[in-house]
Amino acid sequence: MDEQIPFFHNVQLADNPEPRCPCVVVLDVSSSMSGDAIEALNRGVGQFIQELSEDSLANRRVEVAIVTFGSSVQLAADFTSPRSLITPHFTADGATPMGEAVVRAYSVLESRKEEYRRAGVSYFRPWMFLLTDGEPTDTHSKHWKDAIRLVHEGEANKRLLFFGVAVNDADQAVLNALCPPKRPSLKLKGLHFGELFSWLTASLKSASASAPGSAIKLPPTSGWASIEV
Amino acid sequence: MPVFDEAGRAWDLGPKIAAGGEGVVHQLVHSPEYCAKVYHAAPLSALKQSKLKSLCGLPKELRETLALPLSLIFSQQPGGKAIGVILPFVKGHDIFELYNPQSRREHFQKADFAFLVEAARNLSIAFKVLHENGIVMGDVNEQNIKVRPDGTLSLIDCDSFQIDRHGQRYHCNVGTPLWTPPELQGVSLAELERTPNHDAFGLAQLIFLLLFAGRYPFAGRPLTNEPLPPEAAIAKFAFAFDPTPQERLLEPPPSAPPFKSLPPALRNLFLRAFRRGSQLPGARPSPSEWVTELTALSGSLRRCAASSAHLHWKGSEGCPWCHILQTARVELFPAPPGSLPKREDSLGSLNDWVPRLLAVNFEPLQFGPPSATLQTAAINALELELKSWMPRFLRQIPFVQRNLNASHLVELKTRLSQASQTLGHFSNQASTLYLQNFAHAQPFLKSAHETAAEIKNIGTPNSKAIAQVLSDHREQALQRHLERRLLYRAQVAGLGQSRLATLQSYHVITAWDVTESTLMALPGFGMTLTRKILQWRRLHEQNFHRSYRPPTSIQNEPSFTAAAQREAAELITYGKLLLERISEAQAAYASSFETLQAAYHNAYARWSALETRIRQLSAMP
Repeated sequence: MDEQIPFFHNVQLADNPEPRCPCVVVLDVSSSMSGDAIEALNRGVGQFIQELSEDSLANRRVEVAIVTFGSSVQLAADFTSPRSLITPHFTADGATPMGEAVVRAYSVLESRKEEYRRAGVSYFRPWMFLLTDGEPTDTHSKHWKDAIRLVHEGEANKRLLFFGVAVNDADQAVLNALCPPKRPSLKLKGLHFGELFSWLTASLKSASASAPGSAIKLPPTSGWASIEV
Repeated sequence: MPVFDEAGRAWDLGPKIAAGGEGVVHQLVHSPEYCAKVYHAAPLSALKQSKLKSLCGLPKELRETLALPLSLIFSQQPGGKAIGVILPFVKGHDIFELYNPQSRREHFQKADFAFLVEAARNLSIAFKVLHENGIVMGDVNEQNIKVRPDGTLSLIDCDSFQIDRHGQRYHCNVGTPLWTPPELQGVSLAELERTPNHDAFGLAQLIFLLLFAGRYPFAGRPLTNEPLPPEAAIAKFAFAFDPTPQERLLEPPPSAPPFKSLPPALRNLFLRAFRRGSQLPGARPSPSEWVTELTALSGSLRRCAASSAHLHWKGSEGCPWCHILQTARVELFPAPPGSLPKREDSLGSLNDWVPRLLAVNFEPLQFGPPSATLQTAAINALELELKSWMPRFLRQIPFVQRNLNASHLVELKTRLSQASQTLGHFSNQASTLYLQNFAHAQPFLKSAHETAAEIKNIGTPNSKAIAQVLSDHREQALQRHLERRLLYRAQVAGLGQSRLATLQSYHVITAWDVTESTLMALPGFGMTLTRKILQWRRLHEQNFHRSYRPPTSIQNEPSFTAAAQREAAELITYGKLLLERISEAQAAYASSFETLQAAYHNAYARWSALETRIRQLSAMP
């Protein structure tokens, strides 16, 4: 399919040369998410975009893209500022092609980085944030191996910050094979998507703005992550 | 929740206006010129308290440039735990909202290049004042400086500044990587001496941002494959606009104003601020050097022939803003929309304010129809699309033509239903956008309506001013009543001549002077006697309350007029602030709505082209 070239994209970079903090959110919308989970996810994402757009500086610096995986892998929203992002509505359907989704998210990120470089706009370390409630159905494909390699290399070269979050009964062992070894997956408490996305907003704000000190301090995850005893 | 200042005066915390890493800033009810910062780490440590007190005690003249605290505040009761400070409420916008072109169009619609030069000059003057007083800002950043609509500035977050007071150094322990000079990148800032040369880095970066359309000096097109996040570029002195760098890591970004669009003397100051060697003590340009060169620049600006809103240095080769408009299709300095109505400066009459505050609302915006050009473009695009479905020679055969129409119709209807879905999607988006923005404006709307009600109440028994005057009146009448009841006539058992003499020597003569704490402090006054004397006082108080009649024509009392006027002025100033906040929220909503509407118009034009085509095809045999 021929994709349209968004003229708006590069105008945004010339008109707003603030350094960017790109964050690609990779969401599981497979059939197992149907019911309360997908509704809670829709509300959570809506609230995430709203909270980011309310912060004047984060709105100029953070850019969000959304990749979903279910019956197919889709770029539900390409990189743009929170205020101009049109929040898609997700419906749950299909399998769990997680590997393919991560590879797609990585390539969306790479092409946005290329646009930053061409426009001479600097960027902070990009974020990839994955949410899943299942076991990937493509672990035997090339995609899954590529996904693991991209995440692990990206983390090792400090070109990516990867977070994996397990919802409901997701298989954390499989998810941890994808996650960087030093940052294993976290398990979401119930359907606390609201708390989860508020945490992500706060973390992105501090990564992109006046975080005092030299290292990024992430807020505590205790509001949404459960600790397995 | 009331809090108390050092003098014991109570303040009511209003709505939150900002939240940061260190604390939360609240508005103060009825005192719009002040706000209160309450720290997360309350009660405050002894060191923090003494630093804050020192800041309160800095010379008054500094208050024009610095938002210095006025007093510590305490929780619950006077003398309770120190939890924060009272600060002047600084009007204006963060400096990044001035240098960022997108934000500038939203918040400083009339700011042209001359305004930016003036703001840069005012900023340099502020740093000059700061350094002359031995203060180092330390954590210079895009959110610590407020710019007022007239281009003057205030430095805020003074509690992190490095100051020396009474032989004690209070350090600045914080910094922001994007604003930290190369020599301090990756260095622990705790207890580190910060120098004016460190501040000079942040000052130079801010001036650069103001003069170069929000471009960061250390951002450009990378010439290597290494990722170069902003703080790494700073650490490597990679000033992208340096015409002759030692090592070239970045080239100037496209569609940025050329470095040569500024006079050589100013370019030289930037090179001294950002090149290797700038880390040496005193190497970076001082604030006064910037003042001199910026003053020279503001005297040598020229208006471009193409647009009266384009101002630039007269020695520049061509107009930098026209160049950017042509290459990047971005208008950095749009011509202001006609002449704006003059801002009223007086507070106006009370009666005007009630309807103004009651009239504020936040209505959803509606999509308008797309332009005719857009409609035509969509029709043309659809025709091209249809043609591409079948080669030309096949289309000319009548039999194929008929079948083609039928299959086209099916395909077009599918696309029409997709287009309808897209339109529905945009309508949903519009309602979400409205609700999001409304949620933001709602607290201000509510306060505006409440303020209107309070203004209406001035002069009625519900008014604060009248309540105050009544209670003052009652208190004064009570005092007069009690002062006429003399202790020596009290006939309290056990109160003889000698005890009366003791009382007199402590100036306790009338019922008014009698309080429990006074009596308990006197020699030879036991519990029983104290209780009896207090009982005597209470008896007279009760008599007073039974006979007291409040004044009927309170409006004529001079004390009432003064109190009502004070209350009116406070309420109007607060109301004005609320109206400003609401109109800001409306502007932000309108700007997001416009982006959405552009997308909606495209989708609508596509839908209507499909619909027209289907009607045409259905009408054919």
